[in-house]
Amino acid sequence: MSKAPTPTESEFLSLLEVHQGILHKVCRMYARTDDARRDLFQDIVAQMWRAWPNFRRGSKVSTWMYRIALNVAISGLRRRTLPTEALTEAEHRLPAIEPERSDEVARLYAALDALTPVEKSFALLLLDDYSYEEMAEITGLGPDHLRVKMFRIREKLKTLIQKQRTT
Amino acid sequence: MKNDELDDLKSAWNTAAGEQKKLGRDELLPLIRQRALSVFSKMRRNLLFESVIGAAAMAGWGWFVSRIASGNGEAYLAALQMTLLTVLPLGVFYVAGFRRLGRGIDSDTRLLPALQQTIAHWDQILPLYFWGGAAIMPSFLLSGVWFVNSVGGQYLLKITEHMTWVRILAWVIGLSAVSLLFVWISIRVSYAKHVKQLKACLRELEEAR
Repeated sequence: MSKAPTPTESEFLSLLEVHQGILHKVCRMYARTDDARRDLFQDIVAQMWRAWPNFRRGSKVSTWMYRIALNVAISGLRRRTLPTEALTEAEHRLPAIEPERSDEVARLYAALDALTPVEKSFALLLLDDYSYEEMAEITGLGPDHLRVKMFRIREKLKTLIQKQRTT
Repeated sequence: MKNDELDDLKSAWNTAAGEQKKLGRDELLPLIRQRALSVFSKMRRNLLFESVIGAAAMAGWGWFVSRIASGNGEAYLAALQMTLLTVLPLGVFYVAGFRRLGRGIDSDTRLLPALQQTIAHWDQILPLYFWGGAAIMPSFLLSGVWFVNSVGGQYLLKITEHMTWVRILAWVIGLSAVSLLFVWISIRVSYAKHVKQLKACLRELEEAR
């Protein structure tokens, strides 16, 4: 049986319980299979716990969590390096969603799956309605640069979803 | 994309995300108690394992020399030279590797500087791996020949009775080149693709700055 959580662990777990949705979104965006998602989730949580002593109380938890989650997913702060194999044709055809999901969600997932890792990070922030200030806080890019990126990602998503509708 | 369409997308995404099963405290606790292993800390752990094996090999080597070269001053000198020539480059390699890998990267840094730091880290580590391999092989082979020569006649053959030093040197250069090729291939297979991918991500992130 595992020991009861310490006060520090308890504080961190409370935060994780409330905000774990962010991690699930990042995992869904970057990992294709349930196993890969579980692994990524574990890696992100482990890195968050490692960074927790440096977390400045009073700063926004969600931006801090997003920073770590994206760093783990993109920058290779993981046990493994990024998967380098190309998507198989079957994986392109079958977005990782449960069968009962609506067609619209299936199209959205398929479109998101076709984005590059960097584009996925912008798509996540766009879909989660983050302000440019918060995006800058997460990515380290300036507002003008972010506007350009957001415009491009909107257009690319639109094209991809339209393509999905016609196929 | 029109705002309505974007709102629909956001709603679809957030609804789907909301359906995800939330983990409870008892499921989350084991996750934070596991060690946070990044690819760098894994490399550092491997390096530590190699250095322990290396230390054990050195102890075995010491025992071997004391048995085989007993009373042979020249063989002792050769063994010492062989030890220094192989241990010194290895020592430099391991100390530098531990220092560089130990610096680590803060996972809560913003994405752009985190990518820049990670790539800079790889750019320091990979040449170290390559040149570490480059230095060890020729020094090990040359001092090995000298040692075998020194105890030759007692227990082993004298290599210089069968080969000139020029031929020995040619063999050492040839074998070192082959080993370097293997080191280079293993770096390319294990890490170069990953680093290339990271650099592509950085370029993409910096685009239009």
